[in-house]
Amino acid sequence: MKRRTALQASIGVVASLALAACGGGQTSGDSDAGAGPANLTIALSSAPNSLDPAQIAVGPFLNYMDPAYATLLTRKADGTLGAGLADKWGYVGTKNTKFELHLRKGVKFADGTPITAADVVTSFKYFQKGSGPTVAYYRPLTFSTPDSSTVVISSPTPNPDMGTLFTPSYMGGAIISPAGLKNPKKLASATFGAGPYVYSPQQSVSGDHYVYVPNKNFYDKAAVHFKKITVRVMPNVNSQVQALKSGQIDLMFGTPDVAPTIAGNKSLTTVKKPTTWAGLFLLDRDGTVVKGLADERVRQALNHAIDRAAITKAVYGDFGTPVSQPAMPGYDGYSAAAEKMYPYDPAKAKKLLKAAGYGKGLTIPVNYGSFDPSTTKMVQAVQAQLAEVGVKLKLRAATNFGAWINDLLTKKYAATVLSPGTGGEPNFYAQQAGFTKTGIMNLFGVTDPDVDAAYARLAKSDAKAGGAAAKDLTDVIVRKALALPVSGADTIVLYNTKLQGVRFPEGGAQLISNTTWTTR
Amino acid sequence: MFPIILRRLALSIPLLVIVSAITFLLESFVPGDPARTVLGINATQEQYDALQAAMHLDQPVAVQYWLYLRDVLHGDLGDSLFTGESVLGLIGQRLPVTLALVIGGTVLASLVGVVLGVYSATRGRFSRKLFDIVSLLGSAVPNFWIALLLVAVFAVKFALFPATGYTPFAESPGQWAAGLVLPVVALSIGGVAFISKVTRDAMLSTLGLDHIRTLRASGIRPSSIVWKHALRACGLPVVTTIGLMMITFIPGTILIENVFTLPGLGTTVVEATNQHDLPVVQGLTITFTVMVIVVNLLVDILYSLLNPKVRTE
Repeated sequence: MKRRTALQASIGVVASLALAACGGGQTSGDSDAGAGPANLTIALSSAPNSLDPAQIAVGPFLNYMDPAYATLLTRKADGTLGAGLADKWGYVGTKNTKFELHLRKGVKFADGTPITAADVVTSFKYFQKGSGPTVAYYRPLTFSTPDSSTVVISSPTPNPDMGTLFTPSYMGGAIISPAGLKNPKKLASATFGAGPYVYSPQQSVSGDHYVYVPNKNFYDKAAVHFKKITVRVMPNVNSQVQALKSGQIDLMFGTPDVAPTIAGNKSLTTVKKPTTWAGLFLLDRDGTVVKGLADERVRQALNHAIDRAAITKAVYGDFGTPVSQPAMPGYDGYSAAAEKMYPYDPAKAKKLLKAAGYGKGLTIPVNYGSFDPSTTKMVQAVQAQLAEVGVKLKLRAATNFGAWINDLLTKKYAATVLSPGTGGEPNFYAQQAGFTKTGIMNLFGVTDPDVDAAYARLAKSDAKAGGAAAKDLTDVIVRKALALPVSGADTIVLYNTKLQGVRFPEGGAQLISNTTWTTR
Repeated sequence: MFPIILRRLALSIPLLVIVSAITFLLESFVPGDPARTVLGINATQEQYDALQAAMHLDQPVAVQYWLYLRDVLHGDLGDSLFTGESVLGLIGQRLPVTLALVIGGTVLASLVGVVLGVYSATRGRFSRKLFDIVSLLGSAVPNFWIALLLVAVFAVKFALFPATGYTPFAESPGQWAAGLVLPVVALSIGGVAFISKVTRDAMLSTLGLDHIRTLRASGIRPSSIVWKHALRACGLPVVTTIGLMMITFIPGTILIENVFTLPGLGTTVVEATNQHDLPVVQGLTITFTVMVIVVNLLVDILYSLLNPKVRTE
């Protein structure tokens, strides 16, 4: 009898394992084999800090927002602005200070209430009080509503690229419904937008996976391509690759280390684009902490002392481009002339240091976030090369974002490394943070009249002259050696070839919205 | 039995207070500013001051701890700084995953470990040597490495089990089991080696005892002597080892959950630590401590059941 029980138990165990095996290895597309993934599953390394558009970080985090929050305008693949909740838009007058948006007819929030111009303004005003990374661009703006479907946005200073603020890249254009604004606490863990999908808290587990299902009140039913969009949080990038290879996810953001591991797999492919510049922000350009940094010759010497091609190859492999400017190829601010200004020349670097009175060298305290392995490698390589010309970098690593900011605010560090960096934006926005008087990365509040003048010229330029003015601004920043850029690092996306339309727009660093992708 | 349980529970209260106080103190030394982490560099001074006050970060550490303890006594572990979710709710959501791993790993390691240990003790010298080598390898190889190997072979190469993720039991029992097979195997391999070695040694010394010799002389079947009489006599050291192993599995889930991306307490503690989400870290520390206390209590109860002397001591 006992033997039979043992046998039954053994059969039970084997049966459970078989049952488990049958249920295993299921891909996100299995439910619709052959027709591509009816469900879209994206993996990201971090959970969102919030689902509130006014608080959330940008970059890959936009994948949490795109499904549920439609923006007033969109970015088309050719880089131009496209319609969104607004179907007409443009500057009023020629000063680049007033921008008008006309709402699409019949457009509604997910809860079914119509979107009016007043709702748009209320949403903007809420966004202005937030602390998200792009909020600073909206704070100076004022709004008016000539009628119930028109919003006029006024900027106190000229802005040649105001429409960009209403695309998904900047989140302020993601309009929040009055129901959401009634209790802003709820915005952190629920969505109140007008996007093609709505967040489903019932199917989601906060911090692990976030599920979005179609919004029955979306204005364009044909634009809803998936039964379900799931964003899974997978902190380990190697686990993401395994999940991609086994068909559990459809798309992930890769790193230079893991991207080559999908080579040879015909069902997977890669798209990449240089999006952020990696290098040192020379914060102390007035010489408050390190006197030498106030001297242009010292800053130029630093730029001559590093071998960008060698560092880029060693740190980013095939997924980086050496750059000596805070702009990257493919963007309006990239200047071929600036790229030639600082060839690798340690002898010249030493000569410049000597001429500035620092022949025996100088020490620069630098803080950086060690939460990105590539950044750490890059900083250490720069440290080694600068040591060759007598410049000592005294490095301080922060293990988390808060510690990095905290160190930065002490103003004890003359330079810092922003991980993963900035860039991938129109030059008007890209250089604002680091080099203008009020930029959040200009911690010592350094003013440079030449930069101000170039920035003002760009701000007032029209679309035709904008390209030249953007390059001029880069040339000024590079000529005066206000930073120590090293590499343009690629954003790398690995995905299932069943997905179509996964691409970066011209002149932009954010993948076009996940809601626009389709399946074969 | 009941007094033992009561005494153990009473002892666990000061333990919980001490652990939570130490964690609180250590967290206060961690560099970085939680309010700044939440708000980022772009927040205004007013926003920063308001959050500091809301989080009591403008108070001395002792006051912060007292306020925290007061809330805990009212059943409130606070809210996550990042998501605003209740920490208790978060733990409730993540606990089943970790429990499934720890219990599954313990059951598997115990069953396989005991069977292997007994088998090795009753075989020849060559088998014992072989067993020693395998056992050494099992305890020396880190379980996260085994986990990666299992994923590469059974998830990616043969697509038998999912590489990552967790499906709740209520949603699909088949997928729930599928998702747990590889993590449980990875977690339990070290434990198998550990338990089998202890079982083998205990069994060898038990089989040499007088009463076993008497049983043999009485003509009782050898398998009955080993599995019924000798194994019961080996119970105490084996149960102790299983208890210890279960306690090591609790922090062990941190690595395993991260490799398999399971939404358990292990992945949560890593994320919360990186984000400087103090209420979550604190809540998880208390939870882990409670888990260890419960395991110890279970071991004590089993001890009492196996050895009546313990009850009278």
